[in-house]
Amino acid sequence: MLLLKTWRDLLARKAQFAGLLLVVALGVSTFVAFQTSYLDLKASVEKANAELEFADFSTAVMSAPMSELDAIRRLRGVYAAEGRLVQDVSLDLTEGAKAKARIVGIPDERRPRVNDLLLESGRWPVAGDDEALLHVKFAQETGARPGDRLTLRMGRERREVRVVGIVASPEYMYAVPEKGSMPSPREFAVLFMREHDAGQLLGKPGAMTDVSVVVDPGANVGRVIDRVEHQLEPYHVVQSTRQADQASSFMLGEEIEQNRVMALFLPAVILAISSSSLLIALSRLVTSQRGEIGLAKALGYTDAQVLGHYLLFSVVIAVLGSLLGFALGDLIARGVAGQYVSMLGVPFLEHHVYPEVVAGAVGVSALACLAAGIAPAWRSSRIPPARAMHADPSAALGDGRVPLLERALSPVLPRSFTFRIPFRNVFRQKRRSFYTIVGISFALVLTVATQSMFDAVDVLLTRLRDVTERWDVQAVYDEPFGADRLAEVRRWNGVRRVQGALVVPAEIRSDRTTQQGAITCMEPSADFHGFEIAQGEQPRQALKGGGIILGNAAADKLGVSVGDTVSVKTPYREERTRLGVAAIANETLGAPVFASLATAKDLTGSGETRYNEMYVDAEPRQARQIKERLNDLKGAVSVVVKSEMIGRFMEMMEFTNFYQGLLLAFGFSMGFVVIYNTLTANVLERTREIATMRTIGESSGRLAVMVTIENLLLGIAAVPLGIWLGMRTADALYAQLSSEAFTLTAVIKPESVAVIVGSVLLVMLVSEVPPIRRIFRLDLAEATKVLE
Amino acid sequence: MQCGLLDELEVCEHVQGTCVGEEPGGGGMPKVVTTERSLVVLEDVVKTYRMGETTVTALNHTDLVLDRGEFVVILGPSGSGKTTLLNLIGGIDSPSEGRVVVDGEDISRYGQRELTLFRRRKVGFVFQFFNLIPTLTARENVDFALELTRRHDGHGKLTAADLLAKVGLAERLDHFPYQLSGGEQQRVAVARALAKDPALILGDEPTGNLDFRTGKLVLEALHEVHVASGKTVVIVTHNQPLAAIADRVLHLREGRVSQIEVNAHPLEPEGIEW
Repeated sequence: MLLLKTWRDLLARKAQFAGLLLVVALGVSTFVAFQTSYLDLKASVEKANAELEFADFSTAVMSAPMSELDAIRRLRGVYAAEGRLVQDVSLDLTEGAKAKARIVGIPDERRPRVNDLLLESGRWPVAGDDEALLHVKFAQETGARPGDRLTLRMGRERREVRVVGIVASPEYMYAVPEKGSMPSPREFAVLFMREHDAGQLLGKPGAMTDVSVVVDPGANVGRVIDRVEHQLEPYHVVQSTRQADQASSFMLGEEIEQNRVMALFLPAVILAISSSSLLIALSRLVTSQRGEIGLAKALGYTDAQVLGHYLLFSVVIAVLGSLLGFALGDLIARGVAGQYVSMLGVPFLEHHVYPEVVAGAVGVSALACLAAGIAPAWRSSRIPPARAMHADPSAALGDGRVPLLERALSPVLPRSFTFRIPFRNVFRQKRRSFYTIVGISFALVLTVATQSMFDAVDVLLTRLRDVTERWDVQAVYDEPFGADRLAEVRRWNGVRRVQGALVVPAEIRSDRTTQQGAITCMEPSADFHGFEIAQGEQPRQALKGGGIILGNAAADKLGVSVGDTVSVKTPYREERTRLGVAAIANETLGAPVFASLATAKDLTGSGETRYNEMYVDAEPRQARQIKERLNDLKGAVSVVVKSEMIGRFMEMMEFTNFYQGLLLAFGFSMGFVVIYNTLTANVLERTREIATMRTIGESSGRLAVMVTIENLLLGIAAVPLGIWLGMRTADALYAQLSSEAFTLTAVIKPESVAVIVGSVLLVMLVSEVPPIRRIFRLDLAEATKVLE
Repeated sequence: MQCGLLDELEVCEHVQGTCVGEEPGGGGMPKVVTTERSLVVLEDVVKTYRMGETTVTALNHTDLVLDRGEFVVILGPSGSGKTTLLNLIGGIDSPSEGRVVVDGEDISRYGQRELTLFRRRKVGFVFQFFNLIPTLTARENVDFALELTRRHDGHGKLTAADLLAKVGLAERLDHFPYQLSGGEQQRVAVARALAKDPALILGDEPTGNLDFRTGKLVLEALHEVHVASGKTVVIVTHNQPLAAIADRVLHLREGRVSQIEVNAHPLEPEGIEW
């Protein structure tokens, strides 16, 4: 019979029940969508790595004969190895623009056994015909197709190659030339050429500059690296890079890790919101059914049966919510994973229904619903039947008091009942007000946290543009140059100032770990990079004193602070150089390390000051012309105007924006449903009171104003709490998300706060309308007689 | 003079407990005869409700006239249409057919807004469950109704304290409803009804939720108001003994006024027992 009652109760409260179901389904669908798309992405990347035999590590050498490869293949722990030439050259684009082109050798007669390629269109090249396979990312960005000819520049020499196929590669899923640089698919082309042609093109026939290795299953990668490095020692090993540190793989790893964090964190927040919403609704249900509870118990139903009856509401909502949520979540995950994989250029898409996600969805929703249902259900079972059945009409509408705040503010508070009644209502049922405030603030959490991500990126971009990157054009060369080139550029029309830097590839080792990367060496007085020193000396003193400035992410990874020393190994010297950490700077992107040009001499063993990067302050109108001229200088690898760099960054954020947009939509939907449920219940609970006021002649308009004022008062209390909780959520999220690649700080802009507050108020106003209309259409005679 | 209607209706006059009938009006005579004293006039009123597939007729071609200054009790079994009748008179509901005229206003075709204004100006309600606003004190509950009236017509002579004193609650002005007994709450409701200085006071089972002693206190309050200010009071009740304090008692059956009793000598509330 209690089952029948559950069914009828659910039917009687269809709208409220549907609202709760929606909240739980949204929570579960977020969990399923995020978990599944995370697992799909991981599975797709793993499949691409496995199918295409992505190298466990690569060792870069200055130049070694290809014949050394046989010896390497015989080394213990080596499963497969390929040697190849890898070198960056310049690629002419239309209208004088240039891109960086990376030439990568592949075996002449067969497919590579390590770092294989997936031919997406066209055919494999024939050795001796200057044919190349073009990586799909650049092809997509520029519209290049098989049959196109590309012009490469090596110094003054120009060579044409013919594209015969478009390929995907496990090494370049993220189109980044090196770790720490930003993806720039339009300005970074990867061309795979037969070994013979690559050797001819680069003037290194029969040589290799990179050995890529897949190790035996279970082999210790570190030991295999040592063996390979030992074997290649005579040819000057530059550095070995493990798969996890490989530029694209590193960024993908970061992406997957961010997904993992988001897939755990956000559903947890959403389910907490669902759970609290359910708790509020069930508490109200129990309160409104005191009489029925008393009757059931008086008829002989046990406490356990009553407890079970009210828990059944949670169970029904949990089961239906998980089914609905799972279906919705899987649908979203399918779309998101497909979009994600295609945007990242992962050549395989894996979509599965994961048993752990199904179990998790059912488990977490059951847990959230039962956690919400247990307290009200327990309360219901503890109500003594006599007390529950005793309906005292004088107590039916609850207690009233003049709140302390009203007494304190009485001189300034409006005297009209239009204001006084709502004001007292807020304090009248503290539990209801508390639930409403909690409901609204929880509804805000996700919206605020997500919006703060947009704002954080915006602030980061502003900081990049206005604070960190103090130049107009940046040029990178693969051949070092002297001060004479800086002087030459300085004389160009439109150039206001030129500063040079030398970026030295380096392995930085601390007591804790080793970081592969580069050190940017500059004059102590240089200001093309703006520092925000968090700890230690000011940049000029720090660099003058021969110390290094570490970005905070680098310092965190290395586990060092100001005063510590690190040892640095560069490809140019056998010995390691010990350098003191003079300062730590807050850096938003990457994990940069800075030193002076004097220190660069120690690191490279060179006696003279050389540069390979140039930072130009230019007249805005002439920036593009200057860019072209810088591109024409010998060894130009990439020349970028700052606005283009910001544009690239924004492109990189495209998917993140899509992802966050999705979250914002979730957050907003969730917020809407929660606020709607809460306010609907708030208004409907006072049907009799509002009907009474209408009966004695109060106008509908004034009553609507009273309800609105009450809700606004609750909203005013809830919004700051919601924003605070949202920001703390964002803080916690960023702490998990921040990595070597970027550091985000939770910020929310005043205009975002205004939009959020406006939206909440709008949602609140919209949410009031249906219950108010329902009350206004009530049979007043009935409503004034009903005991609530 | 005997007012009213009168088609196929038994009209009785209680003279020392005797019901004296009167011949119903014949052909050619108007169904409803009104005078200057008429406050409420119902002409051929029908009220039907849809309940799922069926149509229920709550009032079936009912005619009725209530005079100013009358104390009327409406009796009848459940479903006889007494609350519907009260709702139509009070402007809470509108008739399906026929006319309802109160204090010269034909409210039959009024929209919600006009009905609200009508209730605000002309009707004071006393509910079975008191229906005080729990966040307001006794004084403020009455003030709430006063504020409504003042906003409407600037009428501002009465104070909440005066009105509460009239119903014997001068000492309980600043108590909240939960601090008052049921009888006290209902007396606050009577004071609230009076606040608007209405032409008509309507009570739907005003003692239905009170014990005998407190119920009588409420009746006394209503009676005093009636006597002192000459207000028309209409009470719907199941409680037969209450009929003794009325000037007229209307018996409803199956949606029609089946009998009217006229008390030549109505009792004081303290004189009744139930």
